[in-house]
Amino acid sequence: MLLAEALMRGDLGAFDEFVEVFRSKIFHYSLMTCGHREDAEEVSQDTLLKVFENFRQLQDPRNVRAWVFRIAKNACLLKRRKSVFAPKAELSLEDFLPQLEESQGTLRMQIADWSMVPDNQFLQSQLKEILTTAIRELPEIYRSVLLLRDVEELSTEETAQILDVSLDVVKTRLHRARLAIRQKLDRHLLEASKSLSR
Amino acid sequence: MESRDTQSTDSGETEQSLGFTLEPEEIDEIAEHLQGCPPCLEFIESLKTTVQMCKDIGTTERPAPLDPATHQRLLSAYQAMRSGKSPTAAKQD
Repeated sequence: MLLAEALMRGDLGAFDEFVEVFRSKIFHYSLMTCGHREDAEEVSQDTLLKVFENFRQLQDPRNVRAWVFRIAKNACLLKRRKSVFAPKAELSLEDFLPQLEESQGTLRMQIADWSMVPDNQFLQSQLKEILTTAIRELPEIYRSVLLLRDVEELSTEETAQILDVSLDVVKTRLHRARLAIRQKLDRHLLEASKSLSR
Repeated sequence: MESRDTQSTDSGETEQSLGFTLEPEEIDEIAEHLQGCPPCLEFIESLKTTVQMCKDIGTTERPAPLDPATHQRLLSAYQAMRSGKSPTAAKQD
């Protein structure tokens, strides 16, 4: 917000900082959305150009991130109708809840042991790769919500505004996206623990 | 599922990781259930870790350095906006 205010005042130092910060953010969002580095480079440049050309339309500097990401989202849509990664399918909640297994007459949830994740650097770097792929493989409507809410840490309201959907839609899609991602990480951890115990 | 030592779960964090806004009674109900259900507690903890990992994902891939021509194009658009000129008029100056 301060950066946007400084830009409005004509601070050239703020211009360079704004370009540096937002170019990187838009590039990452576009790369995860479109899947092509060249497209992400173009989207980040096109977006910034539109941002500067239309900066006076930004009514409130506090909305700058949402406003920039809305322009980036539209630039991504123009670049590519859909990601090269994503399937079209809707995500069903039931598919992402843990499997139940019967053991000694009782039902138990199959969940990996996540307790070592926060302290294990090697595991974290493996999971980071799986996480990146899992996000890219999400259907677009879920991926865009997860990228804006959890990766860019925009609010539910900002995300709804950017994507032109209701707050409830953002919440539902975010929940399903998180469950889908959690499941992929969980499967990896289960496999990893099986290989260790062999 | 065998019980493992699990961290205590803060209800606000649980609500955040679920992605929903819950009524106070629902929060209490979930908190009460989690106290006596290690598998659900582990599930919630794994969801929280997932959300945290998304927040920490960062990126190893950075855009290429901005070439001077593009920098100039962006700066011209910014200066034109500041002076109230159209981008086309600014280019002609």
